[in-house]
Amino acid sequence: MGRFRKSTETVAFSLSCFSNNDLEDIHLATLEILQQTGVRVESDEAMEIFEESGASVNRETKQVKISPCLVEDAIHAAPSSILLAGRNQAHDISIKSGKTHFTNFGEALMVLDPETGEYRDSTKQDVADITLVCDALSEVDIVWRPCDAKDTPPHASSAHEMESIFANTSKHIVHGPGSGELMKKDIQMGALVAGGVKELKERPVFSSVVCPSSPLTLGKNCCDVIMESARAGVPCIVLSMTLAGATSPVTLAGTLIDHNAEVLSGIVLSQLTSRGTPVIYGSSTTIFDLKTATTPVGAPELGMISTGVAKLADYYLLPAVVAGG
Amino acid sequence: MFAPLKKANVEKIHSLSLKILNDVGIEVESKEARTILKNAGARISPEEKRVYIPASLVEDALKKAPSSFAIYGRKKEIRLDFKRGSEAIFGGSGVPSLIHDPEDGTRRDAKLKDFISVTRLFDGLSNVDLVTDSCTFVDVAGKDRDITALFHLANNTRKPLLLHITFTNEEDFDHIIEMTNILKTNVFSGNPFIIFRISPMISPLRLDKVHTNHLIKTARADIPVCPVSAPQAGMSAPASLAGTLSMMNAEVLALLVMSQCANPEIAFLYGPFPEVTNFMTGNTLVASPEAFLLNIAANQLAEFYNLPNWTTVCRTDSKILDIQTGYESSFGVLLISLCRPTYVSAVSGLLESSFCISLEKIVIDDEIVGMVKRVMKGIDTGPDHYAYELISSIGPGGNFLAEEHTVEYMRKEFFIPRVSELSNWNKWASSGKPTALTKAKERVKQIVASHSTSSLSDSILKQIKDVMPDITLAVN
Repeated sequence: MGRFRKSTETVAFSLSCFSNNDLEDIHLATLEILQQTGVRVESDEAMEIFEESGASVNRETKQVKISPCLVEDAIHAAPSSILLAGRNQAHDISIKSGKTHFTNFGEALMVLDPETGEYRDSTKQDVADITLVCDALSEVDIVWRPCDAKDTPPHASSAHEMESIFANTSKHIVHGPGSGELMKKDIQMGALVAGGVKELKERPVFSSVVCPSSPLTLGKNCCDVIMESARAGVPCIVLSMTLAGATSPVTLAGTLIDHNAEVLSGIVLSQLTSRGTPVIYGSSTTIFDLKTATTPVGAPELGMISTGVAKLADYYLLPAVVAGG
Repeated sequence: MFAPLKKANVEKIHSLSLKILNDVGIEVESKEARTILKNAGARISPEEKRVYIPASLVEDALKKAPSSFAIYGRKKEIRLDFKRGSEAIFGGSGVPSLIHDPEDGTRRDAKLKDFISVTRLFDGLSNVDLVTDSCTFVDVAGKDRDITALFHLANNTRKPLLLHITFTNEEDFDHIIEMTNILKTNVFSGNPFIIFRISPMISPLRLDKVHTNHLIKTARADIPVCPVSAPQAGMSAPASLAGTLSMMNAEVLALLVMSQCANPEIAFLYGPFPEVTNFMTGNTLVASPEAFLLNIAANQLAEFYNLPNWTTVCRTDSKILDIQTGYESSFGVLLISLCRPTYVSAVSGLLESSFCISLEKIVIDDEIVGMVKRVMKGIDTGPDHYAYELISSIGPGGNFLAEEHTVEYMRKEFFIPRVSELSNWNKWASSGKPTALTKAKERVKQIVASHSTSSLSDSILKQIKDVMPDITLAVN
């Protein structure tokens, strides 16, 4: 092959979990899945983009089969280093291989009230409060939307969240708007903060995040956000959340292949929409606990999958964000 | 693999350690030890009790030191191989004098009864391979503590043992050797079954009299040794980590030379315990990131020498079973385990910078080690594990729950927790809001009450009583 990073030059203190041969095996199996089985793409516009670029599209089943050359071309076209701008320039971060940054994670639906200990729905005020805390903490480099503003009208809650996040941090922001329409609003708001549409492209003060539906499906909203982000030049995190044993194979190696196929299909869509647009390889994949029917994020397997994903992204020379627990 | 030091740095530390031993030397309080070292080729300055160990003597000891050895449990099948590159061995370490009460968060002096409970708990936990003497006890005279601990270890577990020689005076040490021989012959089918952890080194660079003589006798009795150097960066060693490492390594090499001069074939574990100073309070920190780094670097040195080694990491500076205890303990165990040492003291139950022990913490440590072992096993990459055909046959939108493949691999691929709480909020709330701690309490009660190992026979007890009439063989 030799198309991607050949040997992992380890920095002083790091962990290896795969040999180059393992990485190549995973890559080749992923290419085979994307070409033979394909992914389900639930957006007409996205199907059109895939078709125009030479993918084989079945409009009825929405099955899109992507050739290895399209996939590898997208991996090469996607940038290896991405500026994640802060509203305050001092908080700018450049994400690339060999340097690790930290973020909170989120999109919780419930909050443990710090005053009363009550377990309750999260509110817009919680979004503001948690953002402010993250702004103050020196080890938090990027502020991720911590929870939903469930006390605001559902169709506008995304905009309410962005409003309170922008107002409470000058660090780079990650926000998943949930639909293409809402992404347009995020872009409008981001452009206002950055000083214009062109300025937002130059200094993206926020990134979007989307999740494919496992196994192997890019839902309509997912496609729309990827395409809107690509057009606006806003970095987009394609983050799979497969559950080993439920929405992907119970074996971790199989889960990584399924995961990789989903994320790469999203990356292909982003690069076909706008070649060279910043896109980030993401994972919050864990296991499905078959005893309690829950999705434990404290499981050792989550760390192992995240380590595998980080290595895979590094092999592709793509910036990655992974769940730490 | 984690490796904070590059090969060139490891070599540099090695050469600086040789220079320290040859140019600075170590102070040796024991006359017998000085004579042994002198006969082996060390230079002595009599006024200062200073012994200068030439590089050739160290290199020779390193050459002779066995790269592996085995110890056994009561049955020959229970065998632990102390060998670099083989699967890591897990167990405890440390001898605190206090025990934590989980009900009210207080602590009290540990008693022999507690020691026995902990030993039974160690015997019952699957991630404890080596059983160590867990604490001191206030109800037995100090000078008899080590020998009493040895008896009650052998009486309450079938697993291989490690004993810290801490309080025994010179005259009584022969009794410990004698008891070890009785146990070896009568209980362990004549096999080596125990390691002695002895602390003759007083950093910086001084060997005391009593424990150095213990070390010599242990080596001569052919009992595997793990002598300790425990420098404290910023207090009894330089504040710079590289400086502490050079001095610590010199101390361990001196201990190796000392053991080898007493018995050239002695089984030796490279097992320092570097700590750091908290300059804000003056006390010692066992669970700071720097303490972890020092222990990991020590492991690299053992790797460089191809010596089996002992690492001490599952520690916390917290006083109670709180979040700090959880994160410090798991952080240390995971980090060091990923460096593939020979022995990881990870199921120790220690709190409060190792001054206090908790039975519940032991069960939680066992859980942490279970998780760490799963990570160390890595991701299997056989064709069936990649599951290409399965992914391809399920395709977009399906699910894997009901698949034969899932049933076959779920227990092999996923860690099955014993005390971690995984249910969702509603289920959890309706079952009384259990936590890892409440579940650990139940597990302790259950194991201590029901798990048992057959006690030693009356004829063995009689032999022991004949040799050591004062020993406490039973507790109320």
